[in-house]
Amino acid sequence: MKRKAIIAVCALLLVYLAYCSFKVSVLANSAAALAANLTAASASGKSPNLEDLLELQASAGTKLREAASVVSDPWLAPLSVIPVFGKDFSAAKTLVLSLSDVLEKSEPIIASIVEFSSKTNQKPSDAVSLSDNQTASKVADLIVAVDKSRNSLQAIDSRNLNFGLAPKIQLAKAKLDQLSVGLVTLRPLIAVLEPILANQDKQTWFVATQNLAEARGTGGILGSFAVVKIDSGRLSLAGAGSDQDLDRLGRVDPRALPKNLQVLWGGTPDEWRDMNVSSHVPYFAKQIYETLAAKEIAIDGVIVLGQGTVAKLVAATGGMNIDGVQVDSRNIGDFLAKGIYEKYEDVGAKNAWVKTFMNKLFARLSKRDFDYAGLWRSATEELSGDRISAWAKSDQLQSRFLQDGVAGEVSSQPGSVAQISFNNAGGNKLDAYLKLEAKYSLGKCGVMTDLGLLGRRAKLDMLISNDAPKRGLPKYVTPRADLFPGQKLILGSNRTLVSVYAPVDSTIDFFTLNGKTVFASQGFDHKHPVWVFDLSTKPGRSYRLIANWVEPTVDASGKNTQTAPRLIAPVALNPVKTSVYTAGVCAAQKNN
Amino acid sequence: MKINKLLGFAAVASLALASTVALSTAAQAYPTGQPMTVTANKYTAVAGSDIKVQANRVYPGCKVTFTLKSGSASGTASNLGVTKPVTMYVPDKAGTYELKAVTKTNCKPGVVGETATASIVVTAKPKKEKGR
Repeated sequence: MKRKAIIAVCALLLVYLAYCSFKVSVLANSAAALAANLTAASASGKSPNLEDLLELQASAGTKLREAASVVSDPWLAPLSVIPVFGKDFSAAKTLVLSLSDVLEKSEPIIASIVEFSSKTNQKPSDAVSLSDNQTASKVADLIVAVDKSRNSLQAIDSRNLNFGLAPKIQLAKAKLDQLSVGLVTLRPLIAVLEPILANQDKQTWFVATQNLAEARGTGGILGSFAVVKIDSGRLSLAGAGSDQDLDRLGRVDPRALPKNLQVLWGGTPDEWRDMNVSSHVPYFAKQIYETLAAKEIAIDGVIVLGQGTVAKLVAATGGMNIDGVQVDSRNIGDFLAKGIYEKYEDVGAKNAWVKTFMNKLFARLSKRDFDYAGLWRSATEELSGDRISAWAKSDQLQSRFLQDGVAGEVSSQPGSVAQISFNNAGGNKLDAYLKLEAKYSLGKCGVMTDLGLLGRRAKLDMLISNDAPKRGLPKYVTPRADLFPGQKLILGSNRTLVSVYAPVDSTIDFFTLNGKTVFASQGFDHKHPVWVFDLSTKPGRSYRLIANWVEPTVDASGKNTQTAPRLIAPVALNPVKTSVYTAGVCAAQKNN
Repeated sequence: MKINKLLGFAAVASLALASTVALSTAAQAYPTGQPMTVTANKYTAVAGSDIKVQANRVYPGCKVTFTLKSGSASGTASNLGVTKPVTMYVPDKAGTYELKAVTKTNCKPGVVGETATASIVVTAKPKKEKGR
């Protein structure tokens, strides 16, 4: 009897082991096939086109589902505690479930792209009814899933793996990193364009093209504009002009910009080139809207973009050769910010080049023949710190822009949100060489603000570099219109107003520049104290500017206002490195 | 809709005034940050305490006078166009006060008595605990 029982147990064990072996082999095959797919997509040397993407999605989906059914099988759960093999099985489970989640979140986005592609793949003159699939919010969900997966994979210690899984995890991590960069880059573009294109009404949009080489609060000086008409998915360039054309309309109606802010940055508020000194994009857009309205020129809204976004549009429509200059998504931003001044000393010739470029670009956009692969490749390269934003006359659409984070609004909400912006005070194009790394840290709790609110210490540490060369730059790039008569011009030197928007109701602790105490002007924008530092820089030098403040953790009624720290980078030509740090949330304490 | 009015301007401008991402010549530049400013190490201070103030973007060698309701002080701009920080006492009474900096001579060509202001918020002194 006992012998029979042992035989039965052994038989069951053999069956179980056979079952496990079979399932693990299915898992291994699926993982190998998936890795082969991803490797093949990379090895081809080009980004996948839409058909490749769909094929990859389908095959990866099948393999991932197979693998997910294995790792989720409750009969296999004991495998994770087996010595040597167990850690590999757990890692495989993490990998498969992470990727499955990413794939699931990407499916509705791919469906939206396919729908958009099929609808726009008609004659440019044909009207199309594009859907508003709220793709930007789906992309935001996917970004969350990707980040979660990256963190899960990061937590796996590859040194404990024994069965060849480590390189597959490395490959997945690299792909997820690339995916994250691409999604973060493209989401704002989708958020602005999808609801506009899906609107079936006839619309007229003012595209404010900023030159990020001369910094302003929203990004850059208003160098040019385009007027784009959209009618049932058909897009056409109604015309374009320069800042000088805008001058012909007269002065700007500055009333949308509060008077205290008109003074804070020392600009000329009714001047087209100084109107966007605040980071709050709606001020800028409303000034344009109201100025045009006074001339009986009706627009539905304003799209604000710079060279980085222009590069994405070139990526979507293909490179071009104009007057012997070959431009593509990789070099157009740099050419418009730097190279064009070297090639054309004559302003008229330079303007003619850009006019041709703009007309070609919009002609291609209106043809709706998009290079999705090129756009995706460009998005994953992260070449710029530019961000597109938009303001709409329609409250409904403006709410949508706000919800999707592309309204460029400075929020009045309390919490640990800090923001940095630049304004060029030299009247030059040297912000093409301006670089920034910034870290926002939350420190000691239980400290009172100067206004008597319970708070905590905070520090914003900025490393600002002027990477301009000391010689060789065209005269057009290097002027210092701010110098007093008799003051010597150092070529490549610059003067930048660095603005720090501290959290609502924060008060100054102290500021330092390269370790020495400095002062800043103070103003208020949407309840945020704004400190403006007047920073003179020399070429090839870096400057460490540190702002220490005390920010409230409660409001006047004692309500907790703490949030996770968030640092909003300036819209800039060069990518900005930002990071945040907090030791944790401050414990509830009574406000004295 | 009179968008053509705007486009008409653009058309007239034609080649020389063409659309550009990289437009705006040095002559067109209207840089921000040109007026004198007055800054302080604190914009919120306890009644009767002191703050340090400074004038910026001042013609080198120019003398600047600072005034607050509680008193006045003065400083001279360095070659960098900045005065050394000077100490000023804030008023004894809580409230919002104007800190004013005024250039005393013809410091910038054609500009006399250039003025910059900032708001200083003065909070009441904390009440002392009375011992028994």
